[in-house]
Amino acid sequence: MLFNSAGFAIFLPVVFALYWGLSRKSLKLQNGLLLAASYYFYACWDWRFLFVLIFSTLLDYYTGIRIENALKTNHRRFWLWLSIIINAGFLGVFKYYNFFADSFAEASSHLGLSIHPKLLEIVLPVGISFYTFHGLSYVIDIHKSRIRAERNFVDYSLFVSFFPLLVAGPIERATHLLPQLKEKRPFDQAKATDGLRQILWGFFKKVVIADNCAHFANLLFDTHSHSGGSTLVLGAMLFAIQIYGDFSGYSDIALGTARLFGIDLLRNFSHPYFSRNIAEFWRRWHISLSSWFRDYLYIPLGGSKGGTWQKIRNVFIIFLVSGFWHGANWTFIVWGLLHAIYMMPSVLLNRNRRHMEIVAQHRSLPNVPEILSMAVTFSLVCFAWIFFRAENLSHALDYISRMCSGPMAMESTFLHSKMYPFYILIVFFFCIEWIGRRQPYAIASLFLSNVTLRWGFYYLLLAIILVFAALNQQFIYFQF
Amino acid sequence: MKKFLKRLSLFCLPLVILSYPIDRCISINLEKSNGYAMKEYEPWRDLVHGKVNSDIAIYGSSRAWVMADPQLLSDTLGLPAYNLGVDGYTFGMEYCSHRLLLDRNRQPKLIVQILDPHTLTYRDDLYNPDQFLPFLLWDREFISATSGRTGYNLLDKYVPLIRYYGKLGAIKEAFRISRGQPNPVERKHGFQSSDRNWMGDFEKVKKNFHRQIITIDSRVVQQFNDFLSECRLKGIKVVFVFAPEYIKGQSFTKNRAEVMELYRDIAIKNKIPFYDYSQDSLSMDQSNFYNVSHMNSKGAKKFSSDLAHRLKMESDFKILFGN
Repeated sequence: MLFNSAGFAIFLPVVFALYWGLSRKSLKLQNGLLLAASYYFYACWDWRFLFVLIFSTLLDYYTGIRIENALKTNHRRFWLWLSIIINAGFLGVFKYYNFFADSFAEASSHLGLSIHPKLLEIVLPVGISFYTFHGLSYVIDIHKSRIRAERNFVDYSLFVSFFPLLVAGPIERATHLLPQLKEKRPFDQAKATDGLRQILWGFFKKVVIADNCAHFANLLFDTHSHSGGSTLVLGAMLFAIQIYGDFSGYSDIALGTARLFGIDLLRNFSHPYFSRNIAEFWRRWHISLSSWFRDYLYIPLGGSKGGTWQKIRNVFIIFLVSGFWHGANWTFIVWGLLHAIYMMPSVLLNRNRRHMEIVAQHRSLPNVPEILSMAVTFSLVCFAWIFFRAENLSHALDYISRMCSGPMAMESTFLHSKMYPFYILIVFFFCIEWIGRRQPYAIASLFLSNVTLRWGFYYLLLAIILVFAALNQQFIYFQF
Repeated sequence: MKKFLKRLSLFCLPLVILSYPIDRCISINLEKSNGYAMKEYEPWRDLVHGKVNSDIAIYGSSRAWVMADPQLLSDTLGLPAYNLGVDGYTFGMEYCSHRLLLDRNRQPKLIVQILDPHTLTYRDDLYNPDQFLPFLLWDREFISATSGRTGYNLLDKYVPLIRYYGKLGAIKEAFRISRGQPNPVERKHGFQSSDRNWMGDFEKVKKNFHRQIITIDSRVVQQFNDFLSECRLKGIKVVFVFAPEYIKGQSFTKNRAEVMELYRDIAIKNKIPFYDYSQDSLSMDQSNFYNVSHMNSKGAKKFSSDLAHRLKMESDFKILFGN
């Protein structure tokens, strides 16, 4: 069930009504209802995937308790590694087995050996990368004694499976979400209203901005050999806008939906395309994943405390793993590698903690150096997105070579007056994002003091969604 | 909670109040378009608004649409005729036309049922779904014809404006029509011939073509039989016409003989005349076609004239045509 489907338009009000109508007096009932709704939501993709989800939940629930109960360090470590290995094993089988088998066969062929590994014909369960990371952070936190093991199975299952975050995050932490699930949640009008507002903005980003960009980005990436340099540059930029609108739009809908049930999820995006360097970009892009890697991989590896070489090594490990997390394809690995290289100047010059505040924090417009640094950062990010979007490495390299060598004149299709409404929408989108860059999401406090303007703006957004929505686009991050 | 629901209702109230008038405004203008949705609005519009009112109704798919000229039939038989061919569909959708014809128009005296190998098959998707846009809201015939097929959901059928979600092209077209911009008539009484010549290299197509097997759907057969019974009860004459199909293309359908046998059986059982043009000289000449199953305007003219004369000579129909 997609957030942008008719099914969800019926599912959400029904669950909302049951949640606040029938079960608001009992926390147990509320959590039970949310869990049942979450399993139903997940089963709408394929009910068989539920078994994988429930197994993963049971595994981490049980190992969490065993880790806490273990008296000896060795036993604690045993249960931790058991959970890590089984979780990673699941990911490995579903997501990476075919990639490794293929790569091994290809490498062997270079050595003159002919190997034909058996490839698995399996479908990747939706959201497996996300809920596996939920579970892993939970058992690691127990092992590090940051939290106590959860004894209530319903509450723990809901932490793993809460439907707004189940299939594409944000990747939650037990320290953040579990305490909320254990507390009584009275109805909060301000929170619910804010949730609806965030859902509206998320829909606009997804169905208007991302899906329309997707149409042209797909066209250009699929037929890049017929296009010239500047058109392909536009294609890369459109994909950059697409993936941002798609994933941050999804996250906004997820966060807004959770707020309707009185639950706050971790923020996942903070206007990343207004970043002035790559380090800032990574503090603002897919925050829940970046911080997961920071806390559970980068810091355990020594973080930035060791010497220069250790720092460099850790940055490369983080970005390679991050790339690999996105999918079993060399394109994602190169994408991660590129970002690691982009990070090097900041790491070597110890400048990765610069720009902690959003650009032009106390001004309305950026100054010239800020504009230049944002433009450079955006260009670097766009370049790396080419690898992320491409089908394979040769597709990416071909696209780049065509981009640099093809005719530079923009294709007339993209200069046609029919395209103007589309460009105006993109400019409108970035203007609103700029105005709301200090807020948790762009329209969080837009026209808050004037109800007529505020409602007028919401009606305008609804009208734009109705008219300009592009149809039939999946969420990009569902495949991960 | 109450305050939240109250404010939410207040916010939604203008949307609820305005959605229907806006929907009507778009639909009324859109249905006037003769070119949008692959030119399908004209016959649907005439059916819905009771403007078909012809004594001869031609049913069928795109083969009917481009091959059976109602004007020629009219001129020869002296009765008004209308072509209700729906491109891309089988009898399931033709039955929707039939229901609309009987419910909202004058009852025809004769139905010319143009058959093709797919008539009694079922397709579960909605081909060219935009053709239903202006008519779908709360209309039981369209709701029933589109149900069980992918394309529109319940919200589209019962909540105003929802089906226009993301239909920028349709909204633009409605706006264009409302401003009185050119809207030339494309189909005349539902018919439009094509001046196209034969497309592509037949031998090449034949080489790459995998022979298809037609799967007859028992539900559609049942519906077809019900339709014939209904016509008999209402005194509507029916004639089956298997319109010309290019002879070399007939082998593309593996079980063609079996399908033709079924049509013949139904015709005999219901005492319906069956004109099979499969072996007719019209089917032998490639210059009459633009592809294996569709005739060009030259072929359509020859076929329609021949059909008109056959109908005129048909003893069963003499009482209709007064000869």
